[in-house]
Amino acid sequence: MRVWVQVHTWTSLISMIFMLMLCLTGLPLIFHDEINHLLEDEIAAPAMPADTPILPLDRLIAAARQQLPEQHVLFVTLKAAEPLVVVALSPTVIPVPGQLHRVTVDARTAAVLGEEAPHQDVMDVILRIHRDMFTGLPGELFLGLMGLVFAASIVSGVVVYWPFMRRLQFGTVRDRSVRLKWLDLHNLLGIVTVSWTLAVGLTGTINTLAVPLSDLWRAQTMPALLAPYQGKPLAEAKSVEAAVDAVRIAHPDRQVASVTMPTTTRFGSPQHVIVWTKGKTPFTARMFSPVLVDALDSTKMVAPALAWYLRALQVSRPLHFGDYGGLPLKIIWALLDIITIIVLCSGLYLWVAKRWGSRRRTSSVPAQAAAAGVSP
Amino acid sequence: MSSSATSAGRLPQLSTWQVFRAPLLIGLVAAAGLAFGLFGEGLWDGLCWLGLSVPVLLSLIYGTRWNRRGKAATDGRQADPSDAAL
Repeated sequence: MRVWVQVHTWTSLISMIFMLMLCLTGLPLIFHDEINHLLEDEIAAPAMPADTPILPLDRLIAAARQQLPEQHVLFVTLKAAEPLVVVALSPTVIPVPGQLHRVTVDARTAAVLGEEAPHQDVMDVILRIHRDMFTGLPGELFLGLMGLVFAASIVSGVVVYWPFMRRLQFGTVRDRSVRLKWLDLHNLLGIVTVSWTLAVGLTGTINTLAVPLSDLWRAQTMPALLAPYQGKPLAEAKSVEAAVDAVRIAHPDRQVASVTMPTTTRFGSPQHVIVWTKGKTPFTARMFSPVLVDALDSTKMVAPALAWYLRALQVSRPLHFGDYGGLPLKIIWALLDIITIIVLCSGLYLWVAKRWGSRRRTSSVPAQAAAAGVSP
Repeated sequence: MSSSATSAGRLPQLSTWQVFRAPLLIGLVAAAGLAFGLFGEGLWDGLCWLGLSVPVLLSLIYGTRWNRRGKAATDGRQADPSDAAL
């Protein structure tokens, strides 16, 4: 048991500062949709009759390209809720953060409604701190590791819950001393939130693996698909509309979410238009599957099976963000986040109080052990 | 004068099961809440909110009770039998 206490102490201390940062930055991120809506960052479609026909995608892309003729079209997102299409353009083939232009086009009139200028607002900054502390992939993976250390601290915390609570009823909070009160509160708040903290912690760690996992999948999938095209230059998409139509006919049960244009970079294929589809039920709408359509011949398409680890990644996203149950779930998510902050701070306080206390009272060790509520 | 349970000033030692049955139940309810929300909208969302609000409510109920109980808890045995409800 002494070992478990040590494990709990040190895993907690190591992950503490990062977990506090993640909890604090995560709090506003839970409500990022609502906050962005309040800041009126989003472009809305003008009111028109519901049955107004939609123009072909190629025309919408051309309209966006007219806005920034020198730039590369990287991908096109079809908004599900509104007849809007967002075309992402970049001056470079590999997009540089802060250089990606998102042009919103009305799908019914091909009118350019606005361009989300490349900028970083407060929420972007908070997200970057939360994701990688502005250090890119190494920082992201490091935070993933901290997530694992945090999980170890939770598991060891559950183990050491027993000696503290074996003579107390569940939920007891003693108030003989400030320290005892916070010890009992730490135990209580920690133990009731275990499921949530483990779920959010571990799915956070899985999310940090997004880049390496999708690279792994590409390395396993793409060479075979690109073999027939060996030696061919980067293809120019003949018609995005034809590719999307072909996918819609072949997969009537799925919705088209976005299109990745032919590219030499790691997020696409040099010979295919990648049509990203999603299911139509609330759960399957989170499960994206790519369909690769030959850029020059839309009758040729492949829908490679998505590996289990990418499915795991897709399932872990909502479980980390808490965005799958409407506003009430977001509020519960925020409350659990605040409780976790209290557990973290009280844990740090208990450690400081114990060290300070034991240095002050080195002569009265038994009294201190009794105050801590641990019987050996 | 001397009831064996209280003379020691603390509860008799609880078994692992007795210590962990309430946390286990709460953990399962919360985990079920986490999962239910993924299954669909409407009823599933309701069950999700219900399950996940259990840890929040228990934190509030037990976490603020020491305040109100005040002097009732003086010796090592504060927990009255009704605390064992869960």
